Amino acid sequence: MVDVVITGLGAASRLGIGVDALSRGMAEVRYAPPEPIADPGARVPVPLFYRLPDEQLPPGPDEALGLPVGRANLLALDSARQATRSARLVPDPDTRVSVLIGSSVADVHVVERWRTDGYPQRSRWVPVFSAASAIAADLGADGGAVSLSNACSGSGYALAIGADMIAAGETDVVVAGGMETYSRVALACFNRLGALDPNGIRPFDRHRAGSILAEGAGCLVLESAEHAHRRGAPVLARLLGSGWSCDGHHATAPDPTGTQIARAMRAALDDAGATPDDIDFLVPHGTGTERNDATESVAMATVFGDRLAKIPLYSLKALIGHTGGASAALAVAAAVLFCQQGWLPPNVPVAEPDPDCPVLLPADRTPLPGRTGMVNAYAFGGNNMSLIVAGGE
Amino acid sequence: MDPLRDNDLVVSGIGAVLPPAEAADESWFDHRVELGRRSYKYLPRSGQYVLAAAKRALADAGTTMATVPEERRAVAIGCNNATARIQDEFDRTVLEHGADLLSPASAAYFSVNLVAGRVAMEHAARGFSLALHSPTVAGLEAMQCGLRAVARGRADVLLAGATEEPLPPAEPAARRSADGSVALYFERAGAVADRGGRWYGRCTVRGCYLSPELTGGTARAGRIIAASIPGPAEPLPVRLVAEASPVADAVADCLAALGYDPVLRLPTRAGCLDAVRAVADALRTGTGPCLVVGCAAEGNVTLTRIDAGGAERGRAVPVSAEAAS
Repeated sequence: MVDVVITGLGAASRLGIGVDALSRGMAEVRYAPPEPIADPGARVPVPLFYRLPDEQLPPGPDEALGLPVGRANLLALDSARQATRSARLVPDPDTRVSVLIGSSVADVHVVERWRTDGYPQRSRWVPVFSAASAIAADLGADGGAVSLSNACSGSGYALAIGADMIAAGETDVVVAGGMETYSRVALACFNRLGALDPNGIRPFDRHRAGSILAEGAGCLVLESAEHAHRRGAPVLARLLGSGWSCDGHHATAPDPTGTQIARAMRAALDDAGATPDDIDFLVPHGTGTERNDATESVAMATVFGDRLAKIPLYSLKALIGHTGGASAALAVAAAVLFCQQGWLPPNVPVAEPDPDCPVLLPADRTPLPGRTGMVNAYAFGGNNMSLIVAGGE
Repeated sequence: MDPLRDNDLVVSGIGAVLPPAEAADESWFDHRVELGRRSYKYLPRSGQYVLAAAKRALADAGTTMATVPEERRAVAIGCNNATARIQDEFDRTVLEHGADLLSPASAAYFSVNLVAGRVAMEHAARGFSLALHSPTVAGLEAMQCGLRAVARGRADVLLAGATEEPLPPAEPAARRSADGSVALYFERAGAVADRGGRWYGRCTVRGCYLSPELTGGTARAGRIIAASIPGPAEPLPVRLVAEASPVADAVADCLAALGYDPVLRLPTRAGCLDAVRAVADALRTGTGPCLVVGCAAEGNVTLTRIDAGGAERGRAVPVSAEAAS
């Protein structure tokens, strides 16, 4: 087996740009309520969204590869640069670097803006999913540039596919992650599906009523341990394994039995050569929708049994909102930080825990007995992904 | 290529849903005829197309996915513009009337991965479902990512392909955007032989990225392409599916310099359908090994080696061009 390690991290969320902003924001529980989106065209009952302030946006090009660069691409590009900087990755013609970026709707807001502000005078096609190409061009990566969706599990799949590429010997280094920004269509459809909570995002709360969408991006650098060692790269953590499954059940609702998401968790453990007893913490998908959190709890209980009540969870979306295609990459980035520091930050307190979700969400800083965690990511279409992250020692 | 082994994945079925050349409107496809009168009317046309293409691919293979445990079935679909029109309709509804007038049965299809997800639901494919979207090459990438995951043991059979529908009329390149779907069914050669089935051939896929800033014929571009050739390096005929661009020129020059001959350039419309269609055509004609290369102006390059027509194993017989047409 090829030992895949994580050597670089990049992040953007409402907590700010950079991994330090994410780390500080989690440690200090910098909660803030979501605000109505400043889009007069968004005629929706729940207009709430977490967006980075414009002044925090990284500087970047208006165009890349002859295509407009929207906010999602901009944040992904910056996150990839952060990740490669922290991995001390420099362009090398003998190193094959591949880029994989997941998103739900990518920069479709650029097209939405055309509808209100007028279409451009251009004949060249504008493919909406082009972030991986722009990042590959920016980094000088030549090992492929794959843009995928798999909706809210997109960056989880980007990481898992990237790890498989390294294991198969197809590439040396992978820059993988995801991105999401505001889309009027996405916000409207989440509203129509009754998937947003007018009182904010409250995962695992008895009165939760939906999610809150958010802007964000996350990128990680993966490579084999041998490759990282050879080039003297810092090993931040190991990506021990991934588990894939598909509900094949319903377009938007999870299979309430949780059978396939439990299978993804077990497959990830098998892939990692681990057992449920090896898991020291969990970063759940935890969107705050009634069905997701209940189903995920059922599945976790199936896999971890009575021990579930003793494994601390860190509920990232309660703090930063649901960053869609970026959410899995940001969750893995957070898990890497937890492995490094040896403790979980305090969760945003759950006002009234749901007795149907028997999970442990400590509101205090929690020391970890070990350095192995599981990250879950699920999506419309029933795309399930579990990833196992462990300390780099 | 090596002789076929039982575990090798082969294409046993091809399904295509493509407008006839003379099609003047959308009446050439009726989801009720292809799929029945169930709830398919809420899907975008691209979703209906790919369901129909998958159904045809399985019928062509003479099997169903039900012969394989649900958790060993997988789907990987590429698309670029598959939900552009339904998103356009949704957005205009929201702008003019508000979100309450959106159809709740259709609203989920703002999420482009549901085009693949709906195929997974239809065939209870619980192994995995992947949705790929890189410009022009997403359909080939769907094959690549799907085949890699199957080789890794994550499933045993794979429905892979591409689906598109035209861009909304106001968007750039709308008049030259792709329409239709092509699906391929991949099974293990041994399983096909055991049921007395037949196959078209094998596909081996690799990808690379060639920056538009690299000019054709440079040493680096040549090295990148040479390192990305799937299978053994041997001179083969090439079908290069690409819009005119500096990247396409560089790929053509590099392949010619490596001895690939002839390099036949085929135009492509906005979307990722045409490259998968070229793969299906190469498999159907079965005239021996060739390379189908998809290439985007943005630098995405995916190379697919097709080994078709020569394999015979067990009771399996390669499909002739006549039988497939």
